[in-house]
Amino acid sequence: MPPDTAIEVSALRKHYGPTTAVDGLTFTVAPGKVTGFVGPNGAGKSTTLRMILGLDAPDSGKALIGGRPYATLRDPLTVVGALLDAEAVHPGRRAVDHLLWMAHYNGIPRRRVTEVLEQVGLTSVAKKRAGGFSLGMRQRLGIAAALLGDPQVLILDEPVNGLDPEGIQWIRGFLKSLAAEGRTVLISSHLMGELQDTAEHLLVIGRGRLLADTDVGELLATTSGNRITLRTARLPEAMTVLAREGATVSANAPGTLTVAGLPGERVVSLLTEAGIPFSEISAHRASLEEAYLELTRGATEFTADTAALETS
Amino acid sequence: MIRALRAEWTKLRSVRSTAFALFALVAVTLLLTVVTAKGSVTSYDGPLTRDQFTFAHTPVTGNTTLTTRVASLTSKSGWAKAGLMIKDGTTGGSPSASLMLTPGHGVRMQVNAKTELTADTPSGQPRWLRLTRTGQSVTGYESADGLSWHKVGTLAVPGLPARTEAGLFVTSPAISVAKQVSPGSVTAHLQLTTGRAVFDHTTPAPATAWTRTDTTSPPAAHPLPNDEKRPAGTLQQTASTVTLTGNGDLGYIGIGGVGDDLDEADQVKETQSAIQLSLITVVALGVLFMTSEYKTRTIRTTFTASPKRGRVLAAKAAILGATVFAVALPTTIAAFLIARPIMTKNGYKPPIFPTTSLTDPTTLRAVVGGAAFLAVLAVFCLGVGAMFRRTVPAIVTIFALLIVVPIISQITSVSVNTWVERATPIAGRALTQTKTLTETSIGPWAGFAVLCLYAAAALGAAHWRLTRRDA
Amino acid sequence: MTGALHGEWTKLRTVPANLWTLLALPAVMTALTALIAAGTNPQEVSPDPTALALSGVYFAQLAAVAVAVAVVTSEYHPRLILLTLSASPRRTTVFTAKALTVTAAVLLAALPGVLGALLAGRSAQHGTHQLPLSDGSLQRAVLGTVLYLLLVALLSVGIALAVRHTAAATGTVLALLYGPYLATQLLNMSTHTLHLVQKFSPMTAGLAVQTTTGAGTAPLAPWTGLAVLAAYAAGALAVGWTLLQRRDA
Repeated sequence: MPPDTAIEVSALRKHYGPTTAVDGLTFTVAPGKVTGFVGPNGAGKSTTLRMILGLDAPDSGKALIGGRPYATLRDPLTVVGALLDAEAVHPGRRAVDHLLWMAHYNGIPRRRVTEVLEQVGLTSVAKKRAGGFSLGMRQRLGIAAALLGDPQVLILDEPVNGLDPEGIQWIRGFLKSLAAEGRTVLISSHLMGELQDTAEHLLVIGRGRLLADTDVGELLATTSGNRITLRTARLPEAMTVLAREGATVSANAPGTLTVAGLPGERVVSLLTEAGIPFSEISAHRASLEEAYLELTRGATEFTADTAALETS
Repeated sequence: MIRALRAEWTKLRSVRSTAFALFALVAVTLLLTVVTAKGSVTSYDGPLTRDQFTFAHTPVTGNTTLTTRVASLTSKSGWAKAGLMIKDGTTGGSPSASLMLTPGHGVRMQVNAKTELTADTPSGQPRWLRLTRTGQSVTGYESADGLSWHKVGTLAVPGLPARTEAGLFVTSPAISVAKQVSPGSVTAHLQLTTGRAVFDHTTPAPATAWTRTDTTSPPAAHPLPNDEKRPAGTLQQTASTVTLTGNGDLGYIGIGGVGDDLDEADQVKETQSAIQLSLITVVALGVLFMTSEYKTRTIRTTFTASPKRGRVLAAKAAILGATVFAVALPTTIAAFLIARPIMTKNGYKPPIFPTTSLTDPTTLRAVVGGAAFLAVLAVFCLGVGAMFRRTVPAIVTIFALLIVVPIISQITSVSVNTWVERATPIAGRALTQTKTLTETSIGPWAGFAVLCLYAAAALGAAHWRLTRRDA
Repeated sequence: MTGALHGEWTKLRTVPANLWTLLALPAVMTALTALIAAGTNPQEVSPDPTALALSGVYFAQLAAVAVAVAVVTSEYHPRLILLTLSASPRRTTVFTAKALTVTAAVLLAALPGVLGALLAGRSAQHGTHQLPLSDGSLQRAVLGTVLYLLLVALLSVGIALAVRHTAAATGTVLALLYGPYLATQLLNMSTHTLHLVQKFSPMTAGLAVQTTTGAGTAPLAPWTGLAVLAAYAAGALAVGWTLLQRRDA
């Protein structure tokens, strides 16, 4: 796990006219795992990625890769592979030529072009012009371009866009294996669900600010809060019994209880002792989607609050 | 930098539009060259054959030798002609052989107004001339003193019958008084001149007297405007001298100075004139090489591969310039080689027009200059494309600058046009000229420097914009 | 139809580039006419003072072409036409709305442009006799120039509908307008051929409408010349309309 392949972003800020796209972002992306970069549309993900890649100039703050700004990297494609926009291909250029000119720029040998095309499964259309490619094929071509320099750092903006289910499976496994090799993998998405089985670490942003910088497991645990759901016909009695023992109980749906603050075994024994029949007891598992919605809802409230403070 | 160059070359060659544009460059240039060359019959618009002179003649049968001394020949035209002639009758267009002195172009010998020889000795007045007919060929001699003779040459005279009219003739073509009324058009009006020649020591002299005939050219599609106003010639005879006055001309387009009067044409530039129009393909190529990166958003990929944006721009400019030059050079050379024989056929040939050849440094500079003009122009367009980032506005702007501005300036005034030819990128085309047409137009290297400045400024602005603006 | 017109007008005015181009038309027309008129030496050329005072049209028409082409081709990259046709499935309505919108927009820009050019061009000329503003031929030249710009815009609409690609459509229109003119400048042609080219090329024929003295841009009567351009515009519109009907959107 070479430490010089981390992505470090500190106090990054960027505005376009009156709109602030990125507002003081600070985070580090560690090597060896897949880091998800999530936020709603317009949260500033792509802008941040462009600043990391030296395409857009930040108003203030720094974005470094292995301690250096992207623009100072020698042969950057061998250090960082990026997929920003799969549609950004000249329609009149053959797939192989699209990769070849990039290879030339960084002195990457021609055989790598063949290798990455093979890797993403585009060998059969290598000599076809990109104009005729489907979105999924372009996506694969974009991933091939990112892999071209065999980089230690991969930055992929919405990599599963336009891929079929099979392709999604493939890229998830592929990204995990790349991270397992010790590479730094940063993938962005506006859908938390897409990252569920891929990312180990998450950076959540909203309105250009960092909302969470957390492990996926931790985040899920916080959101789930050790809650238990069960079904019973005698709701009021069950609630009384459990509340007496200090649990927080809520009835969300007819015949369904959510219990927080008591371990599962204790709930089972209490209800059995009271002679209340129940069924379908299970640990409540929050989805990333829920966790994410909770976080972004917080962000909205937070923003509203500060606005109120500022005006008062 | 080498890597950047290879990468940009891969980019340029791997899209079809490049091949289309370059093919169009070659095709349009060569096609237009042929059309232009065919259409250019020098700026002389008159009849091709001129056989119009005042003839003092007497019948002669069979072989003969004529000798005379042109004591003096005066005319406003350097192409006035006075000398000896053997002709089938006196009608214009009939077979004839003649040996003559001209005030400005030495001693010359013509047959049927189609073939011509020039004496290689220095000439002056007075001059002795001798013309010998032997069967179907004639030999001309000239001498300064009548004692030592130099042979001008021997020519066959197809169609010359045994019974001929032989004697003395004088002719003098109209001269044009040219006036450049607007940049696009020079108007010239022809002014008649009269040649006056005094001959002595003429042998054989006719038993009684010379007969004078004003021979008139065969009817032509475009007669010269003054032909019908041509005054009659005169003949005065004393015991020893014959004085003839007359006007007209003898020769064929390109021969005997016919068509010379108006001409200031720059033959080499003429062979390169097609690039004026075919430059549009280069404009498209140069602009698209930059703007297509923005349109397809490949520019971001480019800048992630090479964050040094100045280097990308330099590589693009170098590759584009080199590619255009590599394609344009064979094209301009081919244009020259194609146009030259056509133009020669159309009258651009010695003696009025010098033979042009690629071994001549000035000609070579002009032909290579055509390609250099296109190459630098392409780089200029690349810079403009980088400034605009969008194809259509960039092309429309360049179109206005390179096509519409010159059109407008041509119909307005010489002063505006001079300014346009000096100060817009089109000035670079001056590199294809081998003559300075008007004293106000710009010199070849200065003009090329103007274009280079434009290209440098466009690249500078493009660089400023590329580095200051987000990609 | 009013809906379609309103929609097209909104589409046109909400793209800043269109507005800038439309603003550029009168600006370019006036400024360049003044420049050209000031640079012309009546001793060297004997210009038609009225045509000279409207000569900025050679540049201004570029703006008319650009707007007209953009209104059509912006539908195809990306394929907004799908939206447009779902909002208004009758293609003739869309076609008419587009043509009318372009006409109105170019008219709004051309009126101040032509009048500005006339005034600027007249005051910038020195030493030439000017026709009074009440002169019939002068008024015809002014009105004709406005109509010329409208017809050029409509010609562009037709060609753009047929070509459906911005650069290609612009290129085609410019080639059609300036190409024959360039050819007459570049190639040596007989007077007969020259006149033939002038009579049948849209720009030189159309601009014959500016002639008040001497020979104009084509050996045609002013209105006849404009009619030639109108025929081109009508032809292009017919082709554009047919293709819009026939082709998949």
